[in-house]
Amino acid sequence: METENLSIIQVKDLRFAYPNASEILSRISFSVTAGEKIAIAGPNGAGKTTLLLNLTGLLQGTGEITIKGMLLEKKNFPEIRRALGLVFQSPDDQLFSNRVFDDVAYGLIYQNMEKAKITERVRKALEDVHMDTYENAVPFHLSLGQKKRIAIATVLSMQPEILLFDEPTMGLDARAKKQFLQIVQNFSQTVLVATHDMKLAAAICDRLLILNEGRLVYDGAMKVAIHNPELLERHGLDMEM
Amino acid sequence: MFSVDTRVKWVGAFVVAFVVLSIPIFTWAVYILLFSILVALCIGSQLSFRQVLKRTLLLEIPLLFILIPLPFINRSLPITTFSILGLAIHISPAELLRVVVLMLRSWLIIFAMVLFTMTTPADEILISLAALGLPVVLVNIILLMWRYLALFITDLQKISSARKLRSISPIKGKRDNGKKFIQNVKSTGSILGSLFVRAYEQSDRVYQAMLLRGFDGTLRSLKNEPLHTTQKFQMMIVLILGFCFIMGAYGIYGN
Amino acid sequence: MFVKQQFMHIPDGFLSLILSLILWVVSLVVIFLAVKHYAKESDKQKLPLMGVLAAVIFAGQMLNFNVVGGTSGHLLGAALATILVGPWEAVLVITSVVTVQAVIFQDGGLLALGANIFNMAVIGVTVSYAVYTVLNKVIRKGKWAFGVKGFIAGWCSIFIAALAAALELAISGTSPANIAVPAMGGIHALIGIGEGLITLAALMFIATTKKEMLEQPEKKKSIDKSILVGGLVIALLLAVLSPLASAYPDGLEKVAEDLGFLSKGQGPLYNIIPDYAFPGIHDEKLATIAAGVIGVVLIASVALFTYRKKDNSTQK
Repeated sequence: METENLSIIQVKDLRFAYPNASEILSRISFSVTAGEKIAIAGPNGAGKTTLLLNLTGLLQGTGEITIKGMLLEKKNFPEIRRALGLVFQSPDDQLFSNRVFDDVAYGLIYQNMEKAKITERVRKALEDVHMDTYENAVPFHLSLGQKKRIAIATVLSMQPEILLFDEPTMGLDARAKKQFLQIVQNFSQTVLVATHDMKLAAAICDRLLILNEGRLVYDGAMKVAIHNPELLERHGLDMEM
Repeated sequence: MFSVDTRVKWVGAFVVAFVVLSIPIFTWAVYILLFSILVALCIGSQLSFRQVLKRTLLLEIPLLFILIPLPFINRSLPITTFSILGLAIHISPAELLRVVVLMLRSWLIIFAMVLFTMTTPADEILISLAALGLPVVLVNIILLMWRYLALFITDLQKISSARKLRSISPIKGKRDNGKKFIQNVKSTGSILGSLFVRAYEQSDRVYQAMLLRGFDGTLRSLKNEPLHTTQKFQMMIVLILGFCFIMGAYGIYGN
Repeated sequence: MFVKQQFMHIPDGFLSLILSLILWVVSLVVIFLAVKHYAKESDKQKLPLMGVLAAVIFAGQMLNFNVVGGTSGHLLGAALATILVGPWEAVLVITSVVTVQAVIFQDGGLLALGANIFNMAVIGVTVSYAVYTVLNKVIRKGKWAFGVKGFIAGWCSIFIAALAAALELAISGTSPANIAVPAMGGIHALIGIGEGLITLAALMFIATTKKEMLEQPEKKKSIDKSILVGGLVIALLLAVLSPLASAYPDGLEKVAEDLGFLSKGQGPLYNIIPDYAFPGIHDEKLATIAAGVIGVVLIASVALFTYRKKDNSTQK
């Protein structure tokens, strides 16, 4: 019981399947301690995105998920979604306003925050992702790397304790990847990164979960895993990226 | 003009449209004055007059199609008849003059609107629609549409150029016209259809992103800055000017 | 790239002020009802769906293809939107498209926007819905069924909306009904074929790749009787009225004169303007000359001021 109280995320026996389709997640259990940085790796179609969406409650499977001690169910959604921010794979899904400021402020407006405080939070979030001069920019005109950073800011402005990233470096060039690394390494929050980029995972995280065909096949230290090329290869992963 | 508040510009655009449409049709004096003011504003905001003119005239072309036949068809007297290449052409000068003035009137309003849009970023114009009193739901749909429009147009260009590359041009000949036409319809339909399918999926994910940030079906946005005294003053001037024009027009015409 | 020839978008200056205002009021009432409908709707996902769909329809209007004899077919999209999201939502979608076209691209006027929304969003959608719903009773199954229903609904929406636009032009005294109705009707009977075909092809594509998009709205909704009846009445009324008006243009001209007369001085607004409001400019010619002089002076002084300022700033 002691350890359960310490863990910020607790997943027990999670299963998920879309209607009329085979199981995408089967019997997944793990727990996360506050402040941990964890990579969720695995080949395409392993269920990484589905797992993240289950943690936010956007998808609901069977089993039990608790976030900060709250059971993940409809009445807790508002509070849980404040505590946990998901950065989507495609920033075009997440940046749906015509101005960067409006996008970053969106979540705060729904928290009924005062205007002055919203402006302050938005500026802070944009600073954290090194985009502080882009307040009035049009999202569509930005590069993919810039859009991804703004997408992170939309989540940061809500000051969540847990950050979930879905393939954060997909499609980014080397420079943009490096910028992303610098930003995330400064975070003190709990971070879960779903990726198949093992280099990135190793640079950020000290714990690794490997998903394959909906099963959790490895849960352990990152250090051990990266020195086990056979394990990585068996699950479609490698360090050469 | 660039620094003027969008809401003031809205009032200006509506006043121009309202004045032009409400005055008697042959009130030249008011047209000239309005035109001068618009040209002055255009120069004052350092826009290229030629560019503005080009854009307004381009927009006038469709109107020509509706109106050009009128002087020839209308039978109202007097009618002038002249012949070109043995064809007798009847034309009604009075109707011709009326058509020209109609064009001029609509051109003046278009001029004002072009001036407005060339000095204001598009998203600002759209956001300001809420300040005009349009329902928030509608404004939100418009803003979402504007956000994803550019995305879909880029998609559209990609798809259609990919299709052009892939499709082998059909054998030329009259018989194939029908086939080509069907092909054309089919490919247009499938491009559009695939965009719709993509839109459906896109809206799904946008909705998820909104939900995660607290969207609950109600629509909220930050309050607009209240109008400053100078802006109120500017609006008043525009309104009074418009009122003077209308009164003046009837003063001239009424006697 | 954005500028396109669209006869259906009436510009400012072609409708009488009174008619423009009346149609604005009518359109606003319908929009208000549609917004109320959204507020009652439990499925809030409709909001992003409507926005993104409007973007596709806007983008789709840029796809051109030749119909017959140089007429290019382009999309209005009222039928497609109605079939994909339902009538009330489609009103909002098409209104958004038409509004942005007018406001950002001057495709259609500002005061005439009410009329354009009325023709395309209100008439276009209600007619599409009525036709599609009636056809639903007749044709039911098969992949082609969606296409055929879509074609007919698409064609009707364009044709009837064009008739409405023609009558509005006639009522405003811009063009007599015996010219406007056959001209607008004729062109749009052709353009309607384009609309119908694109609607058909798009629906068939969706029916094969993502059928649930077409089935969901049909299953969920009971038939909206008010729109069904409204659409049928509008369609029949316009289909009967416009040939009538075309045959007897004098009748509409009388209306036009009355309306014109109204706006020329009988309206309550103008009663408050006394005749001696502007002493000294009773002479029309004098006023015109004075306006010319004032205009030239105004333009010249602004130009002078601006260029001097520009010079100063470049010197710095």
